[in-house]
Amino acid sequence: MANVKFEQVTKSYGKVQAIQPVSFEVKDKEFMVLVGPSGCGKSTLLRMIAGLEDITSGKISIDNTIVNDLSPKDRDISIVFQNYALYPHMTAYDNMAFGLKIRGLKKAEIKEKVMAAAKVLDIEDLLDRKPKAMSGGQRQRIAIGRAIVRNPKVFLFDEPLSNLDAQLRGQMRLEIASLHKRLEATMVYVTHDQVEAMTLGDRIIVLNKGVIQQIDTPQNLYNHPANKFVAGFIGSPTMNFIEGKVVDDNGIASFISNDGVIRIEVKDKIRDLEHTEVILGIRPEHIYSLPTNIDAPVKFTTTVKWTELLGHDGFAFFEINGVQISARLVAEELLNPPFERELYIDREKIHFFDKVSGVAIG
Amino acid sequence: MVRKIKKIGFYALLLLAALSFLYPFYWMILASLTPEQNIGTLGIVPQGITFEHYTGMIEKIPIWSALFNSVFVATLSTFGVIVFGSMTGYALAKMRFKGRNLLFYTIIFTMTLPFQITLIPNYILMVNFHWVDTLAALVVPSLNSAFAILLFRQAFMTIPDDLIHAAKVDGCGDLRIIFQILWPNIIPSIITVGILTFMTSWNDVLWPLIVIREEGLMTMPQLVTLFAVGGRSEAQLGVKLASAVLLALPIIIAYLFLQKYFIQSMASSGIKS
Repeated sequence: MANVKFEQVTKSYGKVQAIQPVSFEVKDKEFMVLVGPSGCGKSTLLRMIAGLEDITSGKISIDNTIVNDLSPKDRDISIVFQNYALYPHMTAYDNMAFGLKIRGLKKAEIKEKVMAAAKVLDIEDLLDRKPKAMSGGQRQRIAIGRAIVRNPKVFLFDEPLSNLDAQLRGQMRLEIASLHKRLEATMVYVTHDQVEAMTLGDRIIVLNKGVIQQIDTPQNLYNHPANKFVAGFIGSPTMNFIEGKVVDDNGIASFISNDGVIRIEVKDKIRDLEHTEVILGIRPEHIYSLPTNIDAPVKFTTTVKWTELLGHDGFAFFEINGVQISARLVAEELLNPPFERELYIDREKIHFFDKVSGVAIG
Repeated sequence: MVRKIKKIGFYALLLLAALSFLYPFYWMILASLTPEQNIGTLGIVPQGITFEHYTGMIEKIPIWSALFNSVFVATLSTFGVIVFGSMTGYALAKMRFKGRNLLFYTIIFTMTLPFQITLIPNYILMVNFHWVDTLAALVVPSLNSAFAILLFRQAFMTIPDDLIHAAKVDGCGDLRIIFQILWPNIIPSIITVGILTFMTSWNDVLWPLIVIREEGLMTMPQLVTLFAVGGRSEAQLGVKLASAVLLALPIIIAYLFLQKYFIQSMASSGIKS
């Protein structure tokens, strides 16, 4: 296994710069997830590692060897594609064995490796079938089998679960996580699904418009987003953003929302931003119906306009500054909207962002 | 009841149309086996069977060497068109390079030029290469075709890029991708190109007439044409028809075996486009 290193790598298509200069390192045996909205450049980055996409400038190294000019077959990587990309005319066995045959391995050795990979993935009974005779989940298992059979230095996954239904996706997610543990392999995984990113990644790279927004552990991305984009992208449902100003409220430095509904005492760096327009971020799960078990509750009153019940809990929707805000509450408190009620924000859980740049403050 | 009558009427019409296509073939084969004096009054029923036209034809012209030449030229041309056409089609469908579309449209444009326009320049080229009166003059100019390139390009466009990427990661070069990964997935297109190329090459008369003069190098249609109109058949219809049967037979046999793929490819490419 090996590390993967990007140094000032860029990618342009004519005059359009798809990837701004990026530098990062995927450590040996690390599970790194590239996440971001459609068109952010995450698949391009992955294909650059594979050698399926040329880079415009910079250096990419695998296992401390620069691979800029190496063809995909010489990079010792394997890749699992979203649409499986199995050879339709070959059986599952042949699909898995094909790469080994080309590398000139002996028949017995190929059989041994394919059978070992099939055992790991529990696909021994599928080996005689052609892709068209398999379900989506089975095909994806074969595609993963094709990847692991070569025991490459780096595994690449390009949205491998996107074509599967929700239940199967959850199951395959667990399988990939356990595969990573078992193989102790370096893996780079592209997804637009932040649940996959949060559950699978040792670390996550959040991308937007070809620019890396933040590289961190899932927990740090959730708790300490570097900017408004990351704060909004990580976490489901998305973080609430409330525009307002830092002002002197009777001698106390406070954030007051534009409509005056939210008033929160601020400290540290925020205090120095008096008269500055900022954005407050609060996740729906950090708005409460009772002040108990909160270190620093901040009360406000609002009219809950409508609700969504999800069984045990659900969401209350109301407006601040004319913008829709959601709060995660227990189901019993969500009956018969609209209604007026007091809610509490945990001051320890709020985030502030610069209104212009979106960068986190404090 | 009305439905049934309609259906019967429809099938009767189809049968009539099929017969109008088949009857000339049937008559040609029958006439080639009928004594010369009976051909004029020949209808549907055979009037005596004889092989004298065939033996007469074999005595008069070197039909076997012509058959060999035709098979040789048509096979080599077909092989060339399938190999080079798919290579060009792959490049135009799956490779990114400057001027790709311009190149493609230029190739398509050549399809609109009648063969007669390029006849003289091509002939001059053959003279300069000293290929006149050699089989190279028949084979080399037909080793690729715009139609085959178009058909292969369209077929490759329907194949997802990720399949090619997977093959590259597995260790394939472009040629292995074309012949080992893509070919097995476009068999109907290959067969269509194969049949059409083989038929075009097999039936070609004009070009061989221009570049081949030596009888031993002539193809079947060329030899049969010269035989039929050149006077050596001595105005005997039976001998002419026997040579025509021999000319048509290989193509009919090939078509009968491969028609399933041929229709499949035509139908599917119609839907996809």
